[in-house]
Amino acid sequence: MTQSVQYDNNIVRWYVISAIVYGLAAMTIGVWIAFQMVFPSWNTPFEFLTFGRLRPIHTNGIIFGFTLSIVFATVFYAVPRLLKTPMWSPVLSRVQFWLYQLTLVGAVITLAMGFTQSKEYAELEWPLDLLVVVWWVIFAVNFFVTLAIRKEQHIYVAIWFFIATIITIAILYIVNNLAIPAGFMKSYSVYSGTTDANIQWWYGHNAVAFVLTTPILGMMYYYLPKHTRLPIFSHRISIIHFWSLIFIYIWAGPHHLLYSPIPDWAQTLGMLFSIMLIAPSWGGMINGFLTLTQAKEKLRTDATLKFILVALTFYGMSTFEGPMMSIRSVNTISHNTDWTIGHVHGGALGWVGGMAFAAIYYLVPRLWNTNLYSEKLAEFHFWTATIGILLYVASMWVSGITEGLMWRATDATGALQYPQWVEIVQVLFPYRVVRGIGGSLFLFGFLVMIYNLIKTIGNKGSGFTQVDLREGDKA
Amino acid sequence: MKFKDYGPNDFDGDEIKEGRGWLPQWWTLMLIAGIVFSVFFVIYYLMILGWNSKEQYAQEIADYQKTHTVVAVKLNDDGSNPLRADAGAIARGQKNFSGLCAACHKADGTGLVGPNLMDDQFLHGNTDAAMYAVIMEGISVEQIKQKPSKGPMPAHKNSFGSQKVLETMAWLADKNSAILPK
Repeated sequence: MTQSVQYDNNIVRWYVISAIVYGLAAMTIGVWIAFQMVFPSWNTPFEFLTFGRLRPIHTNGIIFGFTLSIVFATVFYAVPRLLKTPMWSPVLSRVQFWLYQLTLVGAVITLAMGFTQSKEYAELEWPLDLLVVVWWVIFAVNFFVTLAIRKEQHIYVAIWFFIATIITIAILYIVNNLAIPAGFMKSYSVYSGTTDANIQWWYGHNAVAFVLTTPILGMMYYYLPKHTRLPIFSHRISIIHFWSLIFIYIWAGPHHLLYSPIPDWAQTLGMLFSIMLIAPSWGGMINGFLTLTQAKEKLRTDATLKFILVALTFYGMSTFEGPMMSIRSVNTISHNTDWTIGHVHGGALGWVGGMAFAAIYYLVPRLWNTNLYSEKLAEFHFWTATIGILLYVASMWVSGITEGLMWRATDATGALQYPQWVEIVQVLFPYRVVRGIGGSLFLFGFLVMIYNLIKTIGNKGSGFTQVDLREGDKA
Repeated sequence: MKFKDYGPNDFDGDEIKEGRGWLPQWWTLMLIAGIVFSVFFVIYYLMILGWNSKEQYAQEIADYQKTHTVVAVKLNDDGSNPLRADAGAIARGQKNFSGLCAACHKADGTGLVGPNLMDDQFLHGNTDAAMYAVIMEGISVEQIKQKPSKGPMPAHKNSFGSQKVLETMAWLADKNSAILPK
């Protein structure tokens, strides 16, 4: 029986464009502030060009602009198709989109003006926080009603990850941002002291978990089998790694506060939950890898598949690196150093970026009903991005461990061997230059993708043909 | 609601199939091992060993003091700096100064938020004994209220100790002849 269902593709197109716009802006700022670390004069002449103002715009732009846009694009594309029913309310989808855009524009302006709650990844002041809650609740209502009226009984694993995201982000965001307003753009957190710090890192760590991990796993579970037309390796792994992942992730936050005034037992538990997290994280990776090996011949020719492979590889690497860094004795060297920056970018550029690019290369030809303008340019994008990530991550490992060891080095008298901060910064100069070059390469690949996509969209409506990636199929 | 579209949505025909592959054994073991390890770690480390960060800190301080015994250097009986004109001390003193003092007094000692140390004006005295007292004990906010000066200064007996303070003073005296031995 063929049943024709009309899906709302426009909202997906808008979110794809939104992802590209915010991705471009946030990555450009990222490259700029990377070079500010080596050329301090780039901080002038305007105060909104200083590192302190640009850095939160970069992080918020990547997490809440680029990543969330591509997550929303996937939700509005994949969820109706997986449930065989259009989104319940296209009007709510649109209201959500425009309120979301309003928030992002507000975020850029207020952060550039220096308004901040001084909480990492929760910098936005209370009026914008309220706006976020409004469109997140609209999103949740639209999503769950669609789920309730679904035509497909089976709820596929990708959707579990989106459900986990919607519920957990709502809880995290509201609890951490509870504050007493003291004027239009000023507020005081309802928590104080170590409680505030603990709540903040419960939020901060799980922003990484439920914005940068679970929805991206949902994307992986949709695009990988759809693109390769191969079955997901194991439903059993999906179930076990999903539940263990979301149960364990939420407790690991205190590893950001090792050797701080929070209780010792809380620090130890944060560290142990991080170590317990390796296997659940790797569950998603091996389910992806074992699915991918069924199409491994096509890795040579297909850039989208390559991006998924690199994403899974960096996911596996970052989710091993993170628990190692949360071990107390490793953390005494790694904390506050460039190593942390490298770790975050391994996840953000490799895992999130790789999966986002795979999603974009999957969605754009289908949404505009045409074939990708150039597979060769996509291939080129893949290699520039991958080399960029490797340069970035490797230089930050060297830089981070170098500075971590130099900070704590003592001379024969027991005094600090490098009491002059500048002396250490000068040693880090070459690594930070390489980091900037790595970031620039990644940005360059992104620009190539934008050119490729503009050319693709120029051919819109010319008809899309899916390449068959199944093993032995020469089509 | 009707949507403007470029074509049919007919490339969604394929259903996603879910395999029934078993969990790799090494992965299952790793998951269980992580949980078992964590339970035993808590019991052993926190309950049996009774580890806590305060004791670890006290232990590290004790170890440090064992390996680095404090050599107290004092001013001469007449109040002058014993390290004056000692070339090695002057060189080390410059390094100390650029590490800890330069942030306020500028690398060449001509002053930023802290006063200029290279001219002949001294807020708190220009003899070795007076400077030694000021650098070791610092300038408190209370003192500033009684006798206005540029601002407070931390007590460097806590950061440098007498040896390094005297080295730094040796460098200053070498640079500025207005600093008198007594």
